[in-house]
Amino acid sequence: MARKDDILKSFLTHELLESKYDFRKEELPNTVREALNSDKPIIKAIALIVEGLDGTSPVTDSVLRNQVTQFLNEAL
Amino acid sequence: MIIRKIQIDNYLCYYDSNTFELSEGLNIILGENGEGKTKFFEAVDWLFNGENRELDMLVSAKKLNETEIGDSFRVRVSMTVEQYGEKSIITKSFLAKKEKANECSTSSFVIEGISENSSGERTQVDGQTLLDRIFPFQIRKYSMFKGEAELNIFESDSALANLINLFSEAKHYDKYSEKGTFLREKAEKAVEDSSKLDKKNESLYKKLEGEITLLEREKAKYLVHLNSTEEEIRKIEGNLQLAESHVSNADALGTLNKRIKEIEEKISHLTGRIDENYTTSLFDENWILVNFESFHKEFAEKVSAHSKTRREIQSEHDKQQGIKVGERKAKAELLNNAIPLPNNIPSKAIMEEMLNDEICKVCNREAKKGSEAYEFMMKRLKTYLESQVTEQNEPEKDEPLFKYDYTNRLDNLSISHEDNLKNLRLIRTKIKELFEFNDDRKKDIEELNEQLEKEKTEREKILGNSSIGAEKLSDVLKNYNAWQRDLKNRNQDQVDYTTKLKSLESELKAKKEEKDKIDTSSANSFLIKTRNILRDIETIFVDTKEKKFDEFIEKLQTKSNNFFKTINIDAFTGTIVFTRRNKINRTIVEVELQEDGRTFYKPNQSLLTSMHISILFAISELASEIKEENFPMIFDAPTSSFGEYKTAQFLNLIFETENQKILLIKDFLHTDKVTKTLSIKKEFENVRRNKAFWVKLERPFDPNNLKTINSQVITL
Amino acid sequence: MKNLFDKWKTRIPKYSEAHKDLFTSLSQKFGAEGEKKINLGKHFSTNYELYTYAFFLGLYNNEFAPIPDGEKKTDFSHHIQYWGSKTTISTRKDFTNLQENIFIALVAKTDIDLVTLEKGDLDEDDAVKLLIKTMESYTNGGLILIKEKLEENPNYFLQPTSFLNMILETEKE
Repeated sequence: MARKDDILKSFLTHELLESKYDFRKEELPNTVREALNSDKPIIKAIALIVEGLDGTSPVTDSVLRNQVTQFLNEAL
Repeated sequence: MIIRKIQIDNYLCYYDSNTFELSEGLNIILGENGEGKTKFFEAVDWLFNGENRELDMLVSAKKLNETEIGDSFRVRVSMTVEQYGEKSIITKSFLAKKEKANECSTSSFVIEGISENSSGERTQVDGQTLLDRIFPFQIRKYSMFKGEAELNIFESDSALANLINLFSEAKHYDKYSEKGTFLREKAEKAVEDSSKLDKKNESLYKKLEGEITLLEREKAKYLVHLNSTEEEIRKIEGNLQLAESHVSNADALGTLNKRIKEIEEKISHLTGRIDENYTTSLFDENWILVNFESFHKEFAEKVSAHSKTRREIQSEHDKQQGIKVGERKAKAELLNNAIPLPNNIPSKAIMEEMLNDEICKVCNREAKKGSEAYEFMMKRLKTYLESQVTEQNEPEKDEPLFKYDYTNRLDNLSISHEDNLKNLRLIRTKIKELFEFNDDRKKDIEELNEQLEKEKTEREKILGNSSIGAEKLSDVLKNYNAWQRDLKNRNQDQVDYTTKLKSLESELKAKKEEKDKIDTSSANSFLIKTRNILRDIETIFVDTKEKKFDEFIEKLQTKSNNFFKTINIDAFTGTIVFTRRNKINRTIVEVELQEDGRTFYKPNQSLLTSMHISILFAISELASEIKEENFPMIFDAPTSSFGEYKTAQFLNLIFETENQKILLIKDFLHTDKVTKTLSIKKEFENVRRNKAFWVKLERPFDPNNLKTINSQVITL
Repeated sequence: MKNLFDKWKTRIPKYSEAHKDLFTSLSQKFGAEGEKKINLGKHFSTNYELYTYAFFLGLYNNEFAPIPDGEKKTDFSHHIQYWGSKTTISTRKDFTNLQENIFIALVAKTDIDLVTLEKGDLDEDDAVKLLIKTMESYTNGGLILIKEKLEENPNYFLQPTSFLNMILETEKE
């Protein structure tokens, strides 16, 4: 497993996702690629950030911010 | 990675070529002070880290002396290592050319690398790269230690940060918590700006923002206070522990301290129960009404007199107006033309009760159904009930005599306060009881204080019977009680600050919720939703990072204690505990020894050394796990405080550990008083090791004349 | 049914400016409780507490001292109906009931023709004005007593029992 996937998984184990967002453990994706296709905004947002920081080509702060806000704009 | 051989040519006291053929496991290099031991360490250090300056200071004086002017020779430190079955040789060297007697010029050094594969083929490679590949800088940092003092790596705040970067996954999560904060802050600002656009909220918003800033500032201030208080507490406890360690009768002291603490707690509890807020009680307990009864009486009399007067006048008036049907006033059919009572007295309920029971309960006479008394009561009740019904079609025949009725409420007031009069009468007694109570508590406190003084004197006596010198003892005694008082005060401060911080926290929370409410009502809802998601993401990032942090520290702690148990010579039954402390803008880790959950403040040097070495071995083990290979550790005189016997035990214990170790020590050498010859003590034969060396200066030598200095390496 | 009490408690009674110093030194406008009160060195948490105290002191000592016409009057902008309300402070008790006691004493001691009032020939406001005048007069008396005590012995009120004692000393006749 690539490091970015391990990092993503460790974020997704946070209890906030279970308690506040009602996600069950089985529903959570295992890889960044899977998560990028998720229909749950917070999961996809996290995946976007992980991909932006530890993916194949890291992005700058402003690009990252734009990606996340544009995605959320469309998803929310 | 294993160092197979170290060769030192013409470096300082190592004249010509000197070779150490090292083995796996434990290598011990013995040497008297000043005979080449430390120079060995320095040579290796120079190979790894040396800079290209003042190279002429590194030249062997003896060799220089023998060289002709104009000729040159090489100063060289070379290391042969073996890694993954491949041999590599790294050499750092430079040329020294003799210019004059005792003076030379030097070339810059070069680092050469030779790589030899399994079949014996050699290739030349870039030396620096080879070195960094074989023995990376960050790992070298935790492998070479000069002297006992250097063993304490956690003295520097950044040590933890370095370790994390080296060995922990946590380093990857740093940037996430940073980015999480960055994204959230941008989103918060966007929401704020949008909220501010709504003019309605602008001033309230600004006010809240101002309040939040002030509160944050207060909070930061109190955090600083709390941190410094906690540091002081640790300092004082350390001093106290040190003082107590000198006391021979530690148990009795312990019991005394407990008793003293109990008494002090009792005193504090009693003080808390004394209530001398007399002025406040005037209001809260209504003591101010202590003399009020007569005034109430005056009022009641006035009101009842007026009520009677009013009814008199009304009755007169009614009589003169003649009798009318459905009048709201009670008809006077009383004996002797007495003034009738107001309509609603007795109340409807009481009237019904009396009728039901067929008794007039005021005068205790029968009022059987059909009797005159019964009919009178019934008629009264009827009149009252009729008066409650507003008849709208009946025209106002007359202007009522009394436009307003203030009497009713005044009456009610009088009646309701009548009941309370008995409480008023009790006030003086209550006050007296409170004074007595307070006095009794004060007496109790006085007695307890006397007792306290006695116990404290006892304590001084015990401290007096301690094992330290009289001079130091008097200092300790002088300070001991003062420290105890200080400790109490600081502990109270800590409680106060913590409470204040808690209340500030909840105030902040409330203010932020208020602000959020405004945001929610005015800002663009998309911005709100985005901000909320980013808040959660930041929380997730920060929490995960801290979790990884803590996992790493947990691992380090477990490993350290495993080693500690093995190495622990003094049979000290404590554990090494790592604590993460969040300071203002960084996180540091502190290491301490704990015994039975209590911090052990001033361990002696050898205990400290055991602790530090355990930590270092733990780090080395971590490095092995992560890099999946072992690295050698080189210590120069790590156990000077141990003494020879303990050192022997220590060596035997670390013999068991896995990686290659090179230890330079000065024990086990004996100088004959007469002949001044050096020899190795018999005890050394019992020390387990894989290989041992002895560096000594060639005799005879003149310590003032460097030209006679030549270290020799003897393999034992 | 009309309630004189309700009308009365919407008023703000005044005190003579001559006693302004007493208020600033002994009490705290807008209130100070607990640590803050101690820090400021105040005996009374609020201005109305001092006012109430002075009223009862004057009443019990029969010190009826109407404020002379020439003297300027001032107040502390707090309606009687709020006096004693301690909803937000956990360390104090509510003593709004004392308002009724004050009212009772005022009615007892003021000459109001209730018959005329109830017939409608006396304006309610005027009746209330009379009550307030009585209130201000007894309070003024009490403040004078306090002032005299301070002049006699500036340290008298440093004892925690001093204010209590002044009240207890006036035995009912």
